[in-house]
Amino acid sequence: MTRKQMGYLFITPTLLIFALLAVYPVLKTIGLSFFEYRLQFGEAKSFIGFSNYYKLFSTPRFYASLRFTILFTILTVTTEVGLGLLFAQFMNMNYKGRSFLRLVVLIPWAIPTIVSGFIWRFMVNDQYGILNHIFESVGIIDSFIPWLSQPATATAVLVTADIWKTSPYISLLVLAGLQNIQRSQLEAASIDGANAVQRYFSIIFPALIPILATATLFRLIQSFKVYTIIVALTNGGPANSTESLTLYTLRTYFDAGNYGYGSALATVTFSSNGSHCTYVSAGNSKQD
Amino acid sequence: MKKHYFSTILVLFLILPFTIFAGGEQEADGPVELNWYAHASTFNSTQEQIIEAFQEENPNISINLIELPENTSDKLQALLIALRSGDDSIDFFNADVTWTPLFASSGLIDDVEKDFPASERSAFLPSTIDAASYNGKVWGIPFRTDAGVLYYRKDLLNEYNKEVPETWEELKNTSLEIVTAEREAGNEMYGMAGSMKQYEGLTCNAVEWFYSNGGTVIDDSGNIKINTPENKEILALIREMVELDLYPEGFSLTEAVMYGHLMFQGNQVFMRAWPKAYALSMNDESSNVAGKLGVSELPRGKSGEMGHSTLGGWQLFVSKNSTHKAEALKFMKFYASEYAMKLHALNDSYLPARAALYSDEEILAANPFFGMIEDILANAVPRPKTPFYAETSSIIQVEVQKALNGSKSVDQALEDAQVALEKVGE
Repeated sequence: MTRKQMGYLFITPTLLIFALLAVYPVLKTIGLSFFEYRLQFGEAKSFIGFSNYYKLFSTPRFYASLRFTILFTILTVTTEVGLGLLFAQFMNMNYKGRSFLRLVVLIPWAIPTIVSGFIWRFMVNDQYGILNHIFESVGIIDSFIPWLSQPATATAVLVTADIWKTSPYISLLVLAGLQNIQRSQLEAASIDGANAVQRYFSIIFPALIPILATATLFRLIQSFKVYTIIVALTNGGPANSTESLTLYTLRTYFDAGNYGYGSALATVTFSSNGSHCTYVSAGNSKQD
Repeated sequence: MKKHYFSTILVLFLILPFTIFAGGEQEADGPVELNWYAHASTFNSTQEQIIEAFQEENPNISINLIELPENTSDKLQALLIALRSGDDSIDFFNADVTWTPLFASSGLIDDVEKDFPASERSAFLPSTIDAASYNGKVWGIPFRTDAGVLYYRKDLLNEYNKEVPETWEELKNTSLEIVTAEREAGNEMYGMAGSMKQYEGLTCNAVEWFYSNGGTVIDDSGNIKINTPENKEILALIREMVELDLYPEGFSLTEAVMYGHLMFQGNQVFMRAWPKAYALSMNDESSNVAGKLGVSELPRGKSGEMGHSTLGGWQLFVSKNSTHKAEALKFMKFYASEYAMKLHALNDSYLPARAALYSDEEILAANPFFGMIEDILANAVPRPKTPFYAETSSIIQVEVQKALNGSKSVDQALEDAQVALEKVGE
């Protein structure tokens, strides 16, 4: 047995598990998306070709949830990467209490999403929320705002809650990258007369790009399938204005029992996520 | 030595499934074990008491109580996932009144025509049997019913010399007058609240508005009739009340729990809620208004003849896959007996599904307003009866919310709801 054959032998169990738990369900879902298959009709399935997709692309609710998902993804991922870079710099500096800071920054990330969702819901409550108290006492608002009752403010709260929770994760990844940069390289640059800004953009930032690409990829995928924080905070309301693609899919599939159409939605979400992956990892390998 | 341990464990693993299997086989003639998927236990453990009483009479049957999630749609999800996979460990389960068409048409449950004959059904409130029926057959055994009522502050109405409103118009005027005066005096005060978050509670409230103004959602012959002058009129009135700030600012988020807060703090004149809120209002620890709340029928609209309440409630379904249906039905009937319903009424203020219990003196002494509830239940309306209930309800919620928060006109919202509802099931 050659070394290569041996390698294949060793990964076979993993591949089998992967095929069983990941590939099979995906293929099955794609398959179901071509059928009219509803709980209400028992187990009867009828093949309807692309009708579910045709219906999907002519449903305003699909576009509304797609628009919300894209907006949410762009706002959260860009802010989180920006803040992550900033926090990582602070965490990497040399001062007293640095390890304490590194610990504290991680707290939001360590709290389960559903719990942090409920914390935020208390904080933005229109009757007794602390956020309203603070804003009113410093004079930003005149009277209490029902944050989660209007589409714009509800979206803002969701985005903020997600940023609060996930920026620490990015900053931790970036911190790992920062610690890999050779000190001697930076010293050499300052001897050659490069100032802090030049050092940052010519040495530090390029060294961080592979890590940022990975972090962005993770966040893009996670953000695009956002579900938990929405369920905890708005449950898609008011009037479906904060309904994400995943929430729409789950409601169609499990609440309405429309398995065929729900599978079509899941397939669309899956393939758009797949295309991010290919795009970002292609960009990443170019860097290498 | 180590090797021995390993082989012992291995042997155990190999043998264990067979012994369990063999045990299951034996049980067919011995004691039968049933799994009941039910509500979480109440603090009085009423369900456990009833199980105990049943097992005393039937030592051959033992009942495992398995708690379902708190939220009704989570309950449905959990049940559907298990039942659709062919899982035969669910023998019977609690089902919401709106689930009958769905379960009946999906083939996941058996009807109870034979085991729950008309002679026995006649002792139940007709509305509960109606909710358990679909396609000419009865599918469930009702054990609890529910209906929305109007709560009002007796002391405030007295102070301002007002009657309990019989119409929505009166309710608007009365609350506007009290709220305006109280706010001028520097008090926090709201007029009305109900379940208006995007969830099932909003559908219940909206259906009540429509029916109380002579409207409907789906008429008796199955046609969608949501875009009607009656519905427009009443929805416009509710929106006017929202614009007058009679509802709390965060109204589109208020779930039953949250609007109870304002009412129980004493900052609200009226509230639409379920009867169980009465027991909560009487609790001194969480309520400032113990003894100050009156309960009345819901008001009617200008074009309506009387106020209608949405019918809620629960029934028991027997799973098609159950291997012990006869025993399951035996317990289901026991749980829907006078004894069990009375225990629930006394312990938990659950509304019984049996008509006779509304004149039971013990129950009336514990829940004085139950006498009035019988009339309310007689006029209660079921929510739209369709196997596509989840989609139907979700459309009503979204469009009504859009009309109330002003992102659409009332006319537009009902027109859109009509179009969307006609497409449901396609």
